[in-house]
Amino acid sequence: MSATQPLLQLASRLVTPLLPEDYAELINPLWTTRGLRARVEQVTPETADSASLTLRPGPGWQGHRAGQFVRVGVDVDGVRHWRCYSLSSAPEQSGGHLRITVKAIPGGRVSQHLVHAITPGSVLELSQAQGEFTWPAAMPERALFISAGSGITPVMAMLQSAAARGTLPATTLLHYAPRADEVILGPALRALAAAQPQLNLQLIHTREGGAHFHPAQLQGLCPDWREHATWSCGPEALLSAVEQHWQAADLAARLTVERFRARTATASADAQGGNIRFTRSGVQAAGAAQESILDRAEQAGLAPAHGCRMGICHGCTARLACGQVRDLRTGQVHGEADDLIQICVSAPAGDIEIEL
Amino acid sequence: MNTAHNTSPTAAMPYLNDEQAESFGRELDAIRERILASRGARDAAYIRRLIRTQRGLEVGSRALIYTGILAPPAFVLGAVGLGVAKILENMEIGHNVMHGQWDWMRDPKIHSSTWEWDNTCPADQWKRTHNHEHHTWTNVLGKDRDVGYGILRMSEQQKWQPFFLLNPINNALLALFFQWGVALHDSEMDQLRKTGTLKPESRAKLKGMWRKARKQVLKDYVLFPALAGPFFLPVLASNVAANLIRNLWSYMIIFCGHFPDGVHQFTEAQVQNETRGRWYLRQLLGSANIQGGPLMHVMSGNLSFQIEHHLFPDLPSNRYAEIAPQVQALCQRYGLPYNSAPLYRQFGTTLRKVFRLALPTRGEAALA
Repeated sequence: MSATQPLLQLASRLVTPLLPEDYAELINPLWTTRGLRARVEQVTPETADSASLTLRPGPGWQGHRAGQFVRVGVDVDGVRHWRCYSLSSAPEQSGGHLRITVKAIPGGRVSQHLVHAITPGSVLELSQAQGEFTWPAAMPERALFISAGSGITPVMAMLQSAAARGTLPATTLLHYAPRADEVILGPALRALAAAQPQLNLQLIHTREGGAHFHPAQLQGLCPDWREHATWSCGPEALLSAVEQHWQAADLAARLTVERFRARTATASADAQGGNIRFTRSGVQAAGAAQESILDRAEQAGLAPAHGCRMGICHGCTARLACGQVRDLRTGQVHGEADDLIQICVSAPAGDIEIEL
Repeated sequence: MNTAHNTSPTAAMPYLNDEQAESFGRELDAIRERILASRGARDAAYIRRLIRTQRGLEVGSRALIYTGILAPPAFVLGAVGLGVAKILENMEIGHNVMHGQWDWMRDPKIHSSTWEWDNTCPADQWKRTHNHEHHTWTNVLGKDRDVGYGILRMSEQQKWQPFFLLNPINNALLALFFQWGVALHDSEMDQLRKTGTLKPESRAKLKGMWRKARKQVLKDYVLFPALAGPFFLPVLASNVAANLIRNLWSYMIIFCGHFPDGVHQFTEAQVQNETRGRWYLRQLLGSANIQGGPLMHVMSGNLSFQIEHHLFPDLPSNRYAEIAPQVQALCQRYGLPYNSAPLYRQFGTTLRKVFRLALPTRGEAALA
């Protein structure tokens, strides 16, 4: 450790104002220390509108627990977008690779690109694994998973992980998909159920006669559901229904839920963002925590006056009608009604209204 | 050819009336919107490829300099290569990234808020004097300190003083040590000459400048030569030469931006209540292009399109070539001049101005 320090220091002084990794990445883009990257090794179609991407992460990857997710930075049309995806592979079966399974959302910029356009060899930005949607240290006696659509991804990882370790408890999986051929990771699921007798797999096809989640259905498929440690992942409608039911039974403590957000803030501890209402144009847009109001406005089809885009020339000041903003240069949160703010260096800190 | 148009304080900006100016501005806005809407993967690929190429050229050139130990001509080749790498980094990459031209990619490594460039000038000081001061006050005498950089007389309207007899010498010194001139610009050293003291904020700025410059000096003039052991002298000389090449070339291109004959200068009064249309007009009239091919464009940081750059400082530089014919056609329709000439013409008339303005303007000595 201490032997490389002076060498690294010398290297830094030789490449200033850049960092050694700015040159190292010329050889291999995965060789970064600030931030993490991964190379897409393979794109495997799963269903008509979903695919699994096998990723090889850079040397800084610190591993993951089954059920966790990563934030992925994808360049689409030259612009970097960040999204959260659960790792659908278990750490035990990784072999140095990671897998995310993405469902192409209609009109979704990133998901469409990942499912239909991205090619092996592409490099993505990556975060370390995050999330608490994982097995506890002491495995439960009985486990219940309720998932729908792409919500199967963290569940798959957890099931594969426990199966690989031989610790899979008596488990019931209720999975909802529109049709039989639209079950994401269907073949792997069925194979797992065949290999693990303690896994009770219930596939419900909601467009082929099956009903959406409701208490009576749960009672029928898993009568002793109250005794199960439960995990649920899927679209908002499912999660709300499940949460409500568990709350009504006073069993919220037994339930772990994972929500997929459509838009996520980029790397920042205080990621806030908020809804922006442009009062003069009547346009509304969801603002991310690290994106300036100016950028967001231009994306929304507006053309606000601006100058240096550096927060220096004050050519872009706009009146804040209500809410607060965060100065992207200093991190400071500020703002009162009628304040003039420089929109090129300000991002919403919560919902705001601005006169643009 | 005289550049003093309408310098009386009440004279309006020449060429267009208010309505025409606004219409002119709207048409330029439309050009800008078209480029904004079409920014995409190809543009991103351009800057990324350029950065990779430039870094590869830099590493290769520095390595080549070391091979000069075995084969001396490699010193010269390496120095030239390194000079070209520094030119690319400073001009087409650094200057443009710091203008925010590539912020739209949302790549924190290629962003105006984080980019630090390979010369002695700290990025934050550059952005203040350039993006803010120069681009907001382009060619307005007394406000745009790029007019003469505080040591040269580059305008008939600048009152002549005996100090300006040194114009040719100061010009040569500035050219040779251009990166230091740029680094000192924000500290307003010319205040020493004008008022006898520095502004209170200059001390902190000088400290900030040295913090950056120190690292550059250590890199090029101490560490790289030291690694060559007994051959440190030719390595040092190669690095000095590389920086000199960058200094001379960037000085020349930058001086061609706003000093050639035909470029207009303005008074503060003329830009009172300047509308967007009139801001565009001043940017056009105050800038000059250099005619050339793709090599000229990339080596000049696309400042061969100084007019387009001043009209649209934050559009990706690789798009200037595309919109230049549109801008030129627009100018023709509005009866506006479009100052574009080969390098020898633009730099020639600039040098002539340096020498001519070293002497008092005819009649001025009599009044003084």
